[in-house]
Amino acid sequence: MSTETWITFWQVVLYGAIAAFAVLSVWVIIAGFGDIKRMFADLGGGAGSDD
Amino acid sequence: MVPPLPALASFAELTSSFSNVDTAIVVIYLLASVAIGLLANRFITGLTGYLVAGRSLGTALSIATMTGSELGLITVMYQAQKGFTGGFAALHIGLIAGAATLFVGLSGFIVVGLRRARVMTIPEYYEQRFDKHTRVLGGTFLALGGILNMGLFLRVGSQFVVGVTGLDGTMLTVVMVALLALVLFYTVMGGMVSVVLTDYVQFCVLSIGLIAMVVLAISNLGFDHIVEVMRAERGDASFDPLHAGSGFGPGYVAWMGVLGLVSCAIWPTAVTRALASRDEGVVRKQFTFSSISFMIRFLLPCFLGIAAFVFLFDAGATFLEGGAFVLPGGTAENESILGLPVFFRELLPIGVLGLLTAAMLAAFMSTHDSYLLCWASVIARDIIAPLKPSQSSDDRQLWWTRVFIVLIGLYVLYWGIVYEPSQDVWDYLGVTGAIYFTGAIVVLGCGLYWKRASRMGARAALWAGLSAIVGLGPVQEALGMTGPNWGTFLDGDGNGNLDAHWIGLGTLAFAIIVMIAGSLLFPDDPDSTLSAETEATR
Repeated sequence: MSTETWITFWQVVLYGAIAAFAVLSVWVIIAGFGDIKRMFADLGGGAGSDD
Repeated sequence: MVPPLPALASFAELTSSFSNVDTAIVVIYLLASVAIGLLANRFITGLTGYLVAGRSLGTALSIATMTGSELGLITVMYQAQKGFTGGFAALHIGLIAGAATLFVGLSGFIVVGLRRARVMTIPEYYEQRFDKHTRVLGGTFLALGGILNMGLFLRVGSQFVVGVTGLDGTMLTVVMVALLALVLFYTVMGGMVSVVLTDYVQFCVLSIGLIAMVVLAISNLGFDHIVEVMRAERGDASFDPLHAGSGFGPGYVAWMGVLGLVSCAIWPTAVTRALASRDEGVVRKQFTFSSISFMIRFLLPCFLGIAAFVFLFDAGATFLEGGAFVLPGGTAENESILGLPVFFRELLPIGVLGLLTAAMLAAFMSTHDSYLLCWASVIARDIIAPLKPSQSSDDRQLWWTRVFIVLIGLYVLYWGIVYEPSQDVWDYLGVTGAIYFTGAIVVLGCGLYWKRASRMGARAALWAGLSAIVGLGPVQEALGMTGPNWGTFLDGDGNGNLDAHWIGLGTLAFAIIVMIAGSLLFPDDPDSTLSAETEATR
């Protein structure tokens, strides 16, 4: 690949990755909070088994 | 010669010190971490709660905690160093890591098999599949490679704090002791629950912080200007990872493929998240979605390292051999790894700098707590308990895990003070990790997917993995391997040592060969296999 192609390639990768990560972050932050509440409920109820 | 941007031409005008506001933000964050450790301790009622948080993690929390652990300050620092010294070509590391994690998520390669086995550690699977001897051997090499691997974490994290706050370099040891004491406190107290909570907080702060930093860097420097400077200063090779002059080349790229695969499917701190997940479906989703974070954790810091180089170039810094630099108006030589913290210190306004430092400290602590917990639990559960049945009760394993968390912490402090790295931090991590994972990937892969894999083959493969230690510069020097002309193919950076990636790839091939040969030449006796399985399920 030529240098110009590499530059375009890295630019697309970088911007695409930032966009995907932004969407993932919003979802993880919101849904993760709900998961924490469930985890404490499970631990409080002794759901974990020492298998 | 590319002219620097006018707005960034005067380094002195940009200099901002770490203010009281920044310090207050960091202190509040650190106190909150201590509170989390105390809170989590109230929910720990048994070994499963302490080591895998009761196997109660949902998909989103699994992704947050896996990203939190694997996107540590050490990751940010070493990838920024790679971008600083290698330019855009270094971005291939992130791209390959993302692709490898996506493959694991879609196929369930290794991680689903381990979750199905309902084990808490990888060596525990060795006993289920092979025997107790293999478990103890695997646990020993895992602990050895893992503990050596995290040897530089404390030093590099403290270098960040010293660099970003502008503290005198002599304060490095004091910073190391303070950070270590904090991490030890809440890891010993709260186990995996505390790890998960701090990981979640870190994910929130660091994901926003990283994206904001990249946007800030591009808006201040301009993407075209960054490209222009890299091209003028480092040449076309700094965009092409396959180019011989890029400092990478085909062998290095292949080695990154191996590292990308093992860092998500074999590396215990990542696999522990799979083992702590609610079910196999969560494991698959967790790895599939985490492919984005596994790519980002390398890609964004790497780009920030490139931006730091351009920023320092614009400011008139002098660059020396190996990536070290001297600030304008100064005489002190700074290691290349300090490029990022200096960039942050000079670019960010008061308050934002404090927030970002808190985020980076969060990254530092969430990686440390996971690693300390992981290696300590392997020693307690996979070495001590099988060898000393009197120590195998939950209470004794918890006690030993906490003791080894403290001992490993003290070792990390010692190593951070005495070890002088002779290679990039990322390459050091690759080699030390390879001591464990070159054998482990073969044993796990064959154990899960090849019926004829035998315990003799597994033990031989684990021993073969140990040979990766030759990749460390000081070990090569001790063995008299430095000096001969290896040629540019085997010694790409021309430092007289065999490149670590060739040793890693060679070790992997060696482990595969001895696993296959050992299994075919010394197959398991069907009767003894049955008795080992019975013993493992007790």
